[in-house]
Amino acid sequence: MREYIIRRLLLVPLIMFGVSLLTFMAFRIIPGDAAVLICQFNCTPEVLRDIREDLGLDEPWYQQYGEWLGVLKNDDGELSGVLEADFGDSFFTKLPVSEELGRRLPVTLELMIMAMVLSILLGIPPGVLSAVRPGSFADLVARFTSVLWLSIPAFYLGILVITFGGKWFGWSPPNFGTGKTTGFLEDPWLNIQTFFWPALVLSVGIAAVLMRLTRSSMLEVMRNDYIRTAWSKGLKERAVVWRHALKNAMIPVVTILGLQVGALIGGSVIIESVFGLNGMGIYLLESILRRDLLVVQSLVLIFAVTHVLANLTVDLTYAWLDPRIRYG
Amino acid sequence: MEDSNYWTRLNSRKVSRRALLGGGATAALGGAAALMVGCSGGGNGGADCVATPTARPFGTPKAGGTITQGRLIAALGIDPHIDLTGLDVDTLIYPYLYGWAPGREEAIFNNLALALEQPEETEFIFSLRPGVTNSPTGGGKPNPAAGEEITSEDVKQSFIRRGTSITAPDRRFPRKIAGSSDPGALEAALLTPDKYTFRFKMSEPFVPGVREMANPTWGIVSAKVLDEYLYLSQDAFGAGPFMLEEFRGNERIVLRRNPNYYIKGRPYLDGLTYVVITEPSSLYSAFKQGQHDVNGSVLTRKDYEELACDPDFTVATTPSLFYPVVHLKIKPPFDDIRVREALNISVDRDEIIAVINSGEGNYNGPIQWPQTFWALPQEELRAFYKYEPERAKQLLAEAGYEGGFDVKMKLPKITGATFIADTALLLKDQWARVGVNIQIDEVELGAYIGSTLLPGNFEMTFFPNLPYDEPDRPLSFYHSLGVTGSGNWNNYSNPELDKLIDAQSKEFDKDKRQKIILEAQRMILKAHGPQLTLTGGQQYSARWSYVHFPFELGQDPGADVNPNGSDTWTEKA
Repeated sequence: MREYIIRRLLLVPLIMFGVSLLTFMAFRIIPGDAAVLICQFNCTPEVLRDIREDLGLDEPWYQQYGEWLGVLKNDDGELSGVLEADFGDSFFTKLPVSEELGRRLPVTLELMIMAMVLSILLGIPPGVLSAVRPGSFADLVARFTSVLWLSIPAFYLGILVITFGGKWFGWSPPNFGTGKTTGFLEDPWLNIQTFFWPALVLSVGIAAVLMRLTRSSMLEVMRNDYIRTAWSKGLKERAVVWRHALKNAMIPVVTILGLQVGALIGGSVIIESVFGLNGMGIYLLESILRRDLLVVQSLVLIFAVTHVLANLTVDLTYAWLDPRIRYG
Repeated sequence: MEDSNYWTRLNSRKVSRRALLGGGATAALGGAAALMVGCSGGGNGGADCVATPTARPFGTPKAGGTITQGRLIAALGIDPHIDLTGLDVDTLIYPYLYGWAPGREEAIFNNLALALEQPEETEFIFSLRPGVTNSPTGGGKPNPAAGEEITSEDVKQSFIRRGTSITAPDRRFPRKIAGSSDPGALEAALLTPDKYTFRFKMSEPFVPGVREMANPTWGIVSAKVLDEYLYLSQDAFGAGPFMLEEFRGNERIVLRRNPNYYIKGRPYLDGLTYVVITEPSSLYSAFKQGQHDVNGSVLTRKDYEELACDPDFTVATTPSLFYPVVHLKIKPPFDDIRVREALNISVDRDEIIAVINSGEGNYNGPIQWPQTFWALPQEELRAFYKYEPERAKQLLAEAGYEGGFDVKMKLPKITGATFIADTALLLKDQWARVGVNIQIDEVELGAYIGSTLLPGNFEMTFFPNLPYDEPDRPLSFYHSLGVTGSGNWNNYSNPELDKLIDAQSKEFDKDKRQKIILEAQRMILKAHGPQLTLTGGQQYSARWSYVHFPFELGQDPGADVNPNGSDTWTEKA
C-alpha cells in the first residue's frame, strides 16, 4: 500500500508538468493576447511590439515557459519561478499572482469543501433510503428530486436564489454586494451563512448524481448472496444496510465523487460570479478573458493539483473500502 | 410574413430576460410561490403609474455618509493616462483643467484652470487656480506630494506623460500640439512661464482639442508622484475631491474624502465604494435590495419603468451615444456597392428600434442621432434607409448574387452586453429574408480586438462603438488612415472623403464645420458603407432616492456645479 501511495505521489510532478505545458501551449494557439488588450483600440503595430516586449511575450515560448517555471534566468538574470513558489506578476495589475491567490484560495476551497459535504449529505442518505424502500413514497420523492436537481443549471438556480430571495423575502446572503468575505476564524457563524447558499446551489447537481448512483449501487448490492445471508442470520436492518451493504455500494460512488471535483471547480467559476464571491473561479474566468497568461497558468496548476489530490484520496478510500486492494 | 417572425412575436410579448427568469422560477418553485409574487410583486406606484424621469429637488445638502455603487466591469487599473476601465474613478481622484458640458459643447471652468485665454484659435493660455493641494495619502501609502500645490509644471508633466505613453488612448491631439510624435518636441511646445500659467501653441489646428482636454484621460498628476511611480495603475495620489483608500479593481474600490481638497466643505460625502459584480442579474439584485445605493447594471426599459414608479428610487434617461455598426470588409462581395446597398435597405431599422431599443430610438447615420447639431436630420435618414427587401433582392441579383450568399459575421463577447448578440440575431433574421445567410461567430473580446478588428480580419463584423460626443471620432473611422492613423480596418479609401474629414477637424467656425460634416456624411451614405449604421436608443440610470446628484444623466452640469462627485450627498448617515 505504501509503495502504491509513493508511486502515485511520484506521478504528481509529472502530471503538473504536463498540465502546465499544455496550458501554456493552448494559450499560444488561441487567438488574442494580453498585449492587444493593453494596447486597446488605438493600437499600431509599433505600439503592440513595444508592449509585447515589455511583457516578455516577444521571447521564444520555451524561454517564457522556462522563466515561469524558474529553470531559465529572467531579464534580471535571476532564477525565480513556480519551483520557488513565485508565480510571477499579473500582466495587467502588475501585482504578484501569489498575493491574489493567498486571498482567493480560501474562498474557493471553502466553497468547494462545503459544497462537497452538502452534496454527500443531500445525495447519499436519500439514495440509501430510496434503495432500501424501492417503490415507496420516499423513493418517489428522492427520484423526483434528483431529476429536478439535475435539470436545473447551477447558475440559473443561483440567480433565482439571489433574485427571489430579495424580491419575496427581502433577503440576500450576508456580505452579498459588498465585495467582502468574512473569514471563518473572524466570525464562524457569519462565514457559514455567507457560504451556505452558494455551496448549496453548487452541490445540488452533484448530490443528484450521488443520489441516483447510490440508489442503483445499493439495489445491486442488496440482491447479493452475502446480504441474504446477513438477513438470514437475523441481523437488524441497520446492521445489514449500514455495515454490510453500504460499504460495498460506496465503491462506484466514491469514484464519481472524486471525478466531481472537476465539476466543483467548473461550477465555482459561475457560482462565485453569481454570488459576488471573490474566489479563484471568477479570477480564472477574468484572467482567461484578458489572456493574463501567468495568472491562468498558476490557477490551472493549482486546480490540477486539487484534482489530482482528490483522486489520490479516492484511490486511498478504495483501499479502505475494499480490503482486496489493501492486501493485493 | 414579417408579422409572424420570432422577433416580432417576442417583442409583442414584451418579455425581458429577467422576466423570463422570473417565469422559470415561478414554475420551479410552485404555485404557492406564484401567488406570493402576485400579491407582492410589481406593486410599485400602482397600475396607473406612467414612467417618467424623476424630478427631485437637490435639497439642502448634508455633509457625511458614504455611498456604494455597483460596477459590472472590473477596473483593471486607475492610471488616468493609461487605463480606460477605471476612468470614472480617476475623475474623482485627480483634478482636471476644466469640465465639459456636452449639450452646450462648452468648457466649465470649475476645476484646476480658472480661465482659458485664446489669442488665436490654436493658442491656449490657462490661468491655474492657486491652492489646489495634493491629498495626504493614496491607497494607504503616503502621497509623495502630500500637501503640495498643483502647479503649471505638474500640468506640463501630465500632458507629456498622457501624450507619449505607449498605451495612451488617442495621441492625435498631443501630436498636433508638438507637430510630431517626438516627446522632446512636445516638451518644448508646453510652456510654464510661471507657477500658475500653462500655455501652448498648436503646430496645426485641431478643433476637437478643446473637448479632448476635458476627457477623463487628461487627469493632472503631481510631477513628484510621476517621478516616484512609473505606473499608477494600482496606486493613486491626486488632488481631487476623493483619495484612494483601497483598490482591488475586480472586487472593490474604496475612496475617502480628501481632507486637503481646495473647496472648503466639499466633498459632502465621507466616502464612496464601488463593488464589482460581473453577473448582471446579481448586480441588479444588489441594487434593488439596497446593498448598492447607486445602480451599476445596464437597465432595460422594463427595469426603468418599474423603478420610475417606485418613490424609493430616482431615475433618469437620456439618448444613448453608443452606436452599434456593422463593419464590412471592402472585398468581394462587399466591394460591390449594389451588395452593400442591398444589405443596407434590407435592415428593418424600425424593427430594431422596437425589439432592441424597447421602442424608443432613432435612426443613426455616420454620426449618432443624439448629436443633433452634427447628425443628419432624421427625415433624411429615414427616407434614405427605407426598408425595401424586394429591391434588395433585385440589387443582389444584378450583382450576380441571385438567391443571396453566405457570410460569417464576427462579434465580440462582452460581459453584460447582451444587446450585441441580440442585435446580431435580429440582423441575421432580417438578412435571411433576402437570402443573405449570416453565420454568427462570437469571439471573446480579447481575441476579437487583436485577431479580428485591428488586423481587419473579417468579412463582416458587428461592433458597438464607444459613446463619442464629438463628431470627429465617428468620422475618422471612415478615413483611409482610420482612427489610429495607421490604416482603415475595412480596407476602405475615399480621398474625397478624407479631405472632408481632415477639413472639419481644422474648421473652427461651427456653422462651416457643420456644413463640411453633413457633406461628409452624405458622401458616406451614398457609398453604403463600409460601416452600416443602425439605430440608437436610450440609456437609463437609477439610484435610491436618498442619494442626491447635482445634475441628472443627460443633463449639462450648471456653471455653479463643483467638480466630479464633490456635490453629491446622501440623507443616510
